[in-house]
Amino acid sequence: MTVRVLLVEDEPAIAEALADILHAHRHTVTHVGRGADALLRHRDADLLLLDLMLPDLDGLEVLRKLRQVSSVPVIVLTALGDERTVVRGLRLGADDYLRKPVGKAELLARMDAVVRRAAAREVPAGDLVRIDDVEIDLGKRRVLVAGRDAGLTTKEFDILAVLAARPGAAVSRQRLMDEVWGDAHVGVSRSLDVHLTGLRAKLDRPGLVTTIRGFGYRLGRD
Amino acid sequence: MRTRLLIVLVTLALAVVAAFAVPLLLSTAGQRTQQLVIGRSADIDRFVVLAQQAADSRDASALTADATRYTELYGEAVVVVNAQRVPLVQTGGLAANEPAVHALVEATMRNEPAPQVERLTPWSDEAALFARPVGTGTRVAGVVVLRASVAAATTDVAERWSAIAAGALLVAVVFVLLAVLLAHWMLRPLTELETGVLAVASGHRAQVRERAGPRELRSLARLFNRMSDAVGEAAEQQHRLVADASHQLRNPMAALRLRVDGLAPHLDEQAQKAYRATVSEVERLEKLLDGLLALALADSTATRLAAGADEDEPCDLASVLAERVDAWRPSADRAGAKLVPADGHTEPVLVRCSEGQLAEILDVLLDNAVHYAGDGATIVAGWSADPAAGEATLSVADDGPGLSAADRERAVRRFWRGGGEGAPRGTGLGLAIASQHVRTRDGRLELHPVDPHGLDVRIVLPLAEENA
Repeated sequence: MTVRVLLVEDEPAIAEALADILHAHRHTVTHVGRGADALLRHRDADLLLLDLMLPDLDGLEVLRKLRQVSSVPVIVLTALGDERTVVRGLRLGADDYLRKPVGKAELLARMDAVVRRAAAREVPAGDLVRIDDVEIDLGKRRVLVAGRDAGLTTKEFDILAVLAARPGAAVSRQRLMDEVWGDAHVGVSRSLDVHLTGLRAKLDRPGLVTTIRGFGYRLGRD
Repeated sequence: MRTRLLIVLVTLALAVVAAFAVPLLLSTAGQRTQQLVIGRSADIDRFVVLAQQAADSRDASALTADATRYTELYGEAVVVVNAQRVPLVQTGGLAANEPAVHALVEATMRNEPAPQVERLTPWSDEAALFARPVGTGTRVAGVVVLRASVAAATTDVAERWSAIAAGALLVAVVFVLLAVLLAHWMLRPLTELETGVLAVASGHRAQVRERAGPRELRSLARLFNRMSDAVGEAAEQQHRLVADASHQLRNPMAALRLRVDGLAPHLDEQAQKAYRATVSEVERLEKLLDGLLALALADSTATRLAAGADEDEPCDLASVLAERVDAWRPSADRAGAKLVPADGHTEPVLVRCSEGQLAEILDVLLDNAVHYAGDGATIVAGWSADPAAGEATLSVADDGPGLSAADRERAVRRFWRGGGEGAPRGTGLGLAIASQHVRTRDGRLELHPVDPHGLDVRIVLPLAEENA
């Protein structure tokens, strides 16, 4: 599948290396070095790779403006030790983030996942979500792990259901609490942790539910 | 030092006050006694004249009338005896045959000097007896004895003594206050300097006031501030250099990584070996950069926390442990190790540490265990809480080869790498980062041997107050 990538990166060495890799995998790449150009040219892209350190505009500002007019998938490129930025990026509507330096395999896999998810957005997800050998039946409220019932509690299932409604997407804690506990979620923040620990133990599929520190959770493998 | 200084100053002040007050008390009492003696001497002299006249005229009626009136007026008793010790007058209930009066009469008959009236104190209640011989020189014609009440005089003495005592007390209080202020003024800069030195010793900046205390201490304070600035500056520069360097290296690293990755399809068989080595070196370089940056961040977190800016929420240790163990299990499986998760928990175990920091610490511990314990090892991650001691302990124990006692000492040093030949090549920064994080949270990182072999890394963190 050819993806039209808009690469927003001011560092020429990285931009060229990225572009070469993407070209080699038959994606088309448009490279811009400034945030303002990104806002002008996002319409022709299937995916934005957005560096947050831009010479003219803060990358997060670009993202905020972009989200007002478009829902094009965005992957944010950041540096380590910048968790706050990652979290703000996700809150502003980024679909995923990648830490520099990033390897080819990880880059392509994440791009693929984001684009696939964006395509699936248009088709409503069915009642059955399957990840590896875990089968989540949202209608029957049942979870099978390797064909056996995982025996989740009501709350554990509710949490998993919220995550399973958007497989692969980052879901914020706030949203989880809103959807599972409704308005009455004052003070449940800690019990969410406890329920998640229980959920992970019962699924017994390490890495299936990942934590995005300071933001929330994601269901599914990268 | 403060106590000693205060003891010396206060003792000195009290001694000075006492040296003034005691002679003053004595002289006041003496003066009033003297006044009493002089007053009564005049009275007794008059009775002596009257007694002489009575002896001469052999008529004691005038004497008796006078003595009776005197007693009525002043309430003081008078006894007059003649040469044959026959009482001529006895008023006010005083009798000549009372032992004290008798002895006094006999002594006066022999012309012995009358005993001195003792110096009065506010507590004197014994009446003073005055005696005077009647007649001249060798021919003593009788004795006049006067019993004077000291009540009025002692009241006067008490009043004056109270005034003096009040004054002395006031002065003493003022002196003690001055001593306390002086000690405070001299010692406060020293206390501040001590706090400052401790702060600098634990790696923080500190400033002391330069305008307080004695001149010698002020210049010391100035010098201390300059030193603290220099030390802080140096530490900051070091952190910044590390942070900047790893940030600046990041972009070329990112490009290099992508370029190297892009090479793979174009290489022939012979180049593959060199290529794989290159990739592993690049990966190692990345890890080293990450480690350096993480260390610089841990240092700056330490500085931020030391400055009292702790707005981080406590985190649930058991949840974070469960989550990190979950995340590391695939890695452990690939390395052939078995990672055993901790038991579940129903109540959060809150520790005073941010979630991010605790996760970073755990990543170091689990990474080390997975990569150094080796194939077939069992890694047990567990926790325990001790509310009485206000501590929670996290433990990641493996049954791998472990570390020798000497190596356990060295393990938290920067760039120290464990393992001999064939061991994975880490950055040598992991435990240094973890230990720095733990220290900033007033916790401890301990390495213990496991019987028969293996390593147990324990993290002890203070529980958050919400638990208690």
